[in-house]
Amino acid sequence: MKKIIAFFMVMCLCFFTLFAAGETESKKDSVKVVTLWTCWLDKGDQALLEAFNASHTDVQVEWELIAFKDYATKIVAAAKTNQLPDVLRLQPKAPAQYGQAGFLLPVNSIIEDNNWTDAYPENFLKSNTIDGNLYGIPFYCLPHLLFYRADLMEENNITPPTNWEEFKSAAKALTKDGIIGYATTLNDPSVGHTVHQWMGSNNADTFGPGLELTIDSPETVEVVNFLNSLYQEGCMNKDVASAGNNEFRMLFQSGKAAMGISSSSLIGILVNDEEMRKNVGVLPIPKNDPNGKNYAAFHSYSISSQCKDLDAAKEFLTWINTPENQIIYFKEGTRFGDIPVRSDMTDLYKKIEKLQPYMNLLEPAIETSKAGWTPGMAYGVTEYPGLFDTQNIYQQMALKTILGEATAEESVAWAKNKMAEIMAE
Amino acid sequence: MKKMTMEKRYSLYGVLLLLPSLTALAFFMFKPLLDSIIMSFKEINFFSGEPEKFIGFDNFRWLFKSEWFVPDLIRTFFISIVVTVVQVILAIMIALLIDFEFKGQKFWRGILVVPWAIPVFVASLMWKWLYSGTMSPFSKFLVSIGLIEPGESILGGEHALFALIISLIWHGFPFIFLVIYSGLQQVPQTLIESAVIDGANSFQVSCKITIPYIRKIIATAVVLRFVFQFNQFPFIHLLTGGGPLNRTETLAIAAMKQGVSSFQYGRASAITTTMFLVLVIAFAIYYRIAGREDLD
Repeated sequence: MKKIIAFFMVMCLCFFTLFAAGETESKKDSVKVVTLWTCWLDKGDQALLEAFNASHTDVQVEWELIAFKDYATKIVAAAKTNQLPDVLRLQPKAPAQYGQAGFLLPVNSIIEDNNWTDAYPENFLKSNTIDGNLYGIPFYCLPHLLFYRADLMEENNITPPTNWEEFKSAAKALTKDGIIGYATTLNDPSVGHTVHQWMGSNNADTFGPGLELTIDSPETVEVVNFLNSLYQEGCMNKDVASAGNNEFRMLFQSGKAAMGISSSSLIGILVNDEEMRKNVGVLPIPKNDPNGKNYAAFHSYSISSQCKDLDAAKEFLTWINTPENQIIYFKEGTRFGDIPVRSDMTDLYKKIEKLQPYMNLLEPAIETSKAGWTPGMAYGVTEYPGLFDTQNIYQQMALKTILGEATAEESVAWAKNKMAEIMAE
Repeated sequence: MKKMTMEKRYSLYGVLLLLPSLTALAFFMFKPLLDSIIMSFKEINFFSGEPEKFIGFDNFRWLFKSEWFVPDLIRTFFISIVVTVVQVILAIMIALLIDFEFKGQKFWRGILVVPWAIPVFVASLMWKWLYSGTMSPFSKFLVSIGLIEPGESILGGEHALFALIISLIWHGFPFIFLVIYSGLQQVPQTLIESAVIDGANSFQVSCKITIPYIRKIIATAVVLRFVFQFNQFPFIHLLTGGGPLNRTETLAIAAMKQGVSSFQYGRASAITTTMFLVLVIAFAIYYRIAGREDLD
């Protein structure tokens, strides 16, 4: 009897398994599914993706959230085992890096077919382009800004700084009573931009017009010397060689640092702290060179080279990048510092009701985002900087001088040699 | 003849019973090891777009010519030896103390095992906070003895390596303590009682009877701890990441940088294969010096 019952249960299990599989198969036949990987999933993302699904009966998007720290490794492993999704949301420099490696398909046709070329800053498109192939459509921008304690500056009769001299003077004057003038990190490879921020403001770059390495330029030496002087004169946090990105931001958020340079995503955090928000001001990064640029990273959407249905993927990318659809992300999202890349979205963005109380913080972000810069962006050579960052070259370049291991000239020469080694490989 | 056939039959039976475990071992341990060794002879760069190709010993030549290889190798040995020796000495001392009957013995035995129960991620965050220049009360003490400046973290300066070693000693101590403490339970009471009757004090009993009796257990624990420490990755990666300026970088961290950060898997495999060979040679030398009887 027991054997009969057991046999019957096994047969039922097999039957239902086959039936369920069959039912799924027939569902898949009628609807095209676009698979998406992302390492960020805000309410705005979900609202946008759900709106796409609601407005389409023939194409549906299925998304998967991957942990940020595992994202690059997972993409590379999936590329090698033929398991890439159809669409990827990618961080700065990644589209060019992965496009070069053959993981992505060009998306020039989406921009051209929709006459969108003028809607995007030229530098942003260049940054995602290798050999004329555009590998990612910029979605939102995160310009880096100077966040400062307006209340402390007022107490000490200091005008918010707009150049390096004023910045250093303010940092020194504000370093007292347990507060540090300027907090940053030179330890966290995921935020190599803590050096880029100053390079851009001094018009230093990793590459020159002829694609030669210019990291050892006098401008970069000035950046290293400037950071070193901030540290040696006691107005930079002393744990700069060990603090991670979150730790240095916590210093600012907890009121223990008077100034910090961070991406506009910090605005999203300040929005939830009314007390802090009242006392914080935002400005572009102080410049040392009149031609200095403001660092601004951006995120993109790309189509993988293993995409199963290119037309469906293109339809998805076209839809989410159309202004009247993309605005859903900014309206519903809680990451208040994300700035639309498209120039034709600025007015739409500025009219979002829930952003009005924070426009004083967002206006500088909007203004600086349009002329945003990342190292090597101007010349389209972006398959390397991703590797320079993961190997922590920029931060180590500054740390070598700060910790007394080398002069600024020796440090930048070391950085150039390390980069040349990577490029030679 | 009949006896030999029976023996052979039992042997075969034993092998058959072991076969599933051996298969699992082969699949989950030996195959990945073999794959890694094979990869070390290939150029595998996911970003070059080129298929992987056999390049002989080029990865090893690159490794041995790299300016960081010898310092990292020395540093890895230094950390492994110091951590292992200190852990063993501390474990023997504390195990001998705990072995005496006293009020609260079980409580203290439990407390000593707590570091092992804390997940590596949590433990590393805990130590990072403890060493923080701005958030930890411990930093005031370090400033008072002149090790760091106010606001500085010991992990960001020239003493980062020693700070790392202290936290590694703490984290791995429970394992070696438990091994040695368990070994102490095997020491026959009659031996100790005889020694006491003959006039030996506690110190003499420990040095002349107890520790020599468990020397094989100590030797095994030393080998296991050294190997584990040599390959240690998660704690160092989470606490210092090999910084500042590679002052706490070990070969395991370097392998991660090559494999995960630079996607040069052939080179990463060359580093791990070298680590494996170094351990095999070190163990062979130890085995020869210590004598077979210590490990039988």
